[in-house]
Amino acid sequence: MSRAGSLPLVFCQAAGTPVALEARLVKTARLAHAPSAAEDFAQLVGLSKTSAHEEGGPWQILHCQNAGALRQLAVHGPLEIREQPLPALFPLPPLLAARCQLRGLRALLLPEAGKNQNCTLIFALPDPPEKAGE
Amino acid sequence: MDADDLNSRPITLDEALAARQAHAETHTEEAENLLKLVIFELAGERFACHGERIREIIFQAEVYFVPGCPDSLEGVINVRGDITSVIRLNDLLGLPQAPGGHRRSSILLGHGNGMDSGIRVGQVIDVVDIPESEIHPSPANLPEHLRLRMPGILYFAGQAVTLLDLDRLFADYAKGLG
Repeated sequence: MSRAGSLPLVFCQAAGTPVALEARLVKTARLAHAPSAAEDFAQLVGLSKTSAHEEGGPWQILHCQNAGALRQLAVHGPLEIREQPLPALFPLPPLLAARCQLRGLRALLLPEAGKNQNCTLIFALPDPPEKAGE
Repeated sequence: MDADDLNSRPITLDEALAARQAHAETHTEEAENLLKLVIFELAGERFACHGERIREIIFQAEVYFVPGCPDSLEGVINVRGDITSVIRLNDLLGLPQAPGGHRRSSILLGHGNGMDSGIRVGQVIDVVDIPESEIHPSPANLPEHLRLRMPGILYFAGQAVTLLDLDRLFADYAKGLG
């Protein structure tokens, strides 16, 4: 349940990048050895691995529901659910929104000053590839 | 009364005051035509933006990388609790990266075409008021897309300074043209 002034998010990793989804979209999660039939979230949103990135923890399969459709998304752990204060969530600046190629990117969460970490990318659930191409 | 009258007899106080008033009005008109410009260096060349388009000059900020963006978009910075993108002006203008990285660079917080963004530039040289008449159209042989982004040229401290149009730069960049 969300407190006023905060948003519950599920935090995980995709292609070595910290990412988050709205917790209300994630129904369950389970540990897995491989993504198997689940959609690779990193591929789905267009995040590419670089040699500098590490995969993070083991695969986690998120069972997500959006607009009545059930989806299975493969991400990397560690998985964490956290209430995020709204002032810490930033909408995308306009030029970044216009030029960023990541599908479904909706907001950013910056690390605390001086922590020298990457910002967390907050996604809406993007359409499956076949639907997105229509 | 014409100039000959003034030259042929001593001037009266009324005439002196009227002349002074006219001179003051002329200067007021000139002051209205002054443009505030922020002049900066980038890759060995000098550029300027209209001061009214620059909200702030930031000399040091932590830039957070955002994947999935073109190389010309350096990342985002936190400006007193709000975030803004930072674009690399040298990439937009096809200029080489400055040697020595960001050691002497600044970020101009610019506003153009209804959008705000940080602009990575080299060293800020000066913020000056320049008469509008000192700004000349950019050379006609400049390619049209550059002429629209760089509509004027002026000389400051003996060096050519290219005036940039942030409205055009930001609009082009948002359309993927930068």
